[in-house]
Amino acid sequence: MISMLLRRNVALAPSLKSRSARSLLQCLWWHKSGRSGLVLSIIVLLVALVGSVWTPYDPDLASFSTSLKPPSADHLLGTDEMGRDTFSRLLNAAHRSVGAAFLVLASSFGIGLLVGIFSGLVGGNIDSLLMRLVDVVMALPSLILAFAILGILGPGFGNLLVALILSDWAWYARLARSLAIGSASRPDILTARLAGISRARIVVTHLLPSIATKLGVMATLAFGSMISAISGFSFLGLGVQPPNAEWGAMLSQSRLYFDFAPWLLLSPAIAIFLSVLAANLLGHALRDISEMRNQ
Amino acid sequence: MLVAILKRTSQAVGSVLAATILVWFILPLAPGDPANRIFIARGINDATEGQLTALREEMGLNLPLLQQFFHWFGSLLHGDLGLSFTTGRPVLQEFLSYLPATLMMLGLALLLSTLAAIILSLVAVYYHDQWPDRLIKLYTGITAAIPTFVFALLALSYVVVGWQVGRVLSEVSWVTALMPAFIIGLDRAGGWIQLLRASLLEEMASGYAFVARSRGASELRILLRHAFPNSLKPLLSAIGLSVGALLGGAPLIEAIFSWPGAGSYLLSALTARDYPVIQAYVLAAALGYVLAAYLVDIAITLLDPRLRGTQT
Repeated sequence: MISMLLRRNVALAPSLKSRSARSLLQCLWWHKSGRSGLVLSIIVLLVALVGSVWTPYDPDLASFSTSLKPPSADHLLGTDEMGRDTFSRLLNAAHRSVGAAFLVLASSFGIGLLVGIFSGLVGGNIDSLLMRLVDVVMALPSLILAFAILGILGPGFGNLLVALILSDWAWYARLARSLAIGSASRPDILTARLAGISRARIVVTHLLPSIATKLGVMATLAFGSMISAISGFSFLGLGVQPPNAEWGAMLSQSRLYFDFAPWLLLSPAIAIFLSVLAANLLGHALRDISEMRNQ
Repeated sequence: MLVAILKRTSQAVGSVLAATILVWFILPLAPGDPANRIFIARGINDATEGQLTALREEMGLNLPLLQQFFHWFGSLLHGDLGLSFTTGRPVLQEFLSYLPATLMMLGLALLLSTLAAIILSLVAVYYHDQWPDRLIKLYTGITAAIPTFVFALLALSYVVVGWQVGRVLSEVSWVTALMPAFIIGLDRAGGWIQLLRASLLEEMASGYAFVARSRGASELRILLRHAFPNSLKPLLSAIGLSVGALLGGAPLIEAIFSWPGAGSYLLSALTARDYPVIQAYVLAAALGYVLAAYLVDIAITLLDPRLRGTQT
């Protein structure tokens, strides 16, 4: 009888879930900073998507007759020292800067989620072995580890992404593991176990969503430091290689002309600022909402 | 408490050992034949087989990997980090000559940002929801969205050089370190203000603050005597963690300010693939990171009366 009731509750879960998904957007919309964060994030993502397929000018086409022109109707943000359109380069760079940060965070999130939950559930020797590995990775500050890995692999955009993922996943794995272990005694999971639902199904329908939400908030809040790392390494010439445009690389090329071509230095800086601001606003709102829901 | 400190010490030693093992792996994991890489780093591109065998013999590269590790670890304990591939001089000696410049700048930055964070968050909480608080909130919101190196680049270009309030000098002294340290400190303080402000506000709303208010203590007194000491814990942890971020960001910061420190040394080593130098920097950064976290934890244990009293 009880188990039937419980089963019915479980069967109700999908409809509850779709309602909660709708109200997440509503919560975001009515949150103080959530709305601006959401709108700004969507704009940044759209710009990155558009910039990867279309730009007003060819972002890599040099023309020395139009070099270092100030902003005008033809060139919205002027041109750089090689006569390339700054606006086009900025648009084109967005999918590298933003897309790469997204890719690194999504990969570390995924690896961390899988390793952490697996480790927490399996326990025993495998768990302690995996956690020793996490300890070793976390013994170094993540930027330092990224430098070390880049030292081994050599500079390059792909290598940079590998280095950042390898130095970042352990943080998510540790959090996911502690959440997985902590939620073993959660009422809904105990109830589901009493109802005789298989372990795999409990993990997929109960454990995974709640842990993924917490990790997702952490990943959103880490977006700023990831953009900063990617553009920083590219600024040093260790990431994106010329002639490809990337916001950090653009900063490093244009710092020589800060005096008489300030649009060159300011436009990538503002682009970085806006995209990090979007992620910060969204992340803080998501954190507030998830904390409110837990209460 | 002694047990807690001993436990934390063994944990710190474990972290350093783990980092050391990780650092050693840089050498065997690097692509290509190590002996050949040394010759290339020294500008010899066509080393003969005889030269290569001689070098392998000399550097112990023909031994089994495990033996190489213990050999490397043994000389590390004697303070020998090997010879630089490019200059052929002892890495430790070269590294130590660059280190003071970095420590000066980062230490000053840490000090300035801690001071700024404490003063500004006390002001923000005292004038809660009035214009000074709003202004400080705007400042923390802006610095949170600008990466430190972008902030440094803009401040250097448009404030320092543009308004001629200072000059970029690569001569190392406390005075020349002040400008870059101030700029980095200004950026880093933002996050700490957010943290300290939140915990101060929480303390000001707590039961003991209410009691103090009811017996007629002034807001300022409650803030300084009661709330502030209780809010130091999260700030201390944040400072400890930021040492790692500062050491990781040092190459970038030093590149922007043309500061001749250990970070610039690492950058030149990265382009030249001078692995012993990379190992030295990573090892030193790991040591600094673990040490900072360790000291912060000890300080928190000593500061907290609840932890101070317990015997376990």
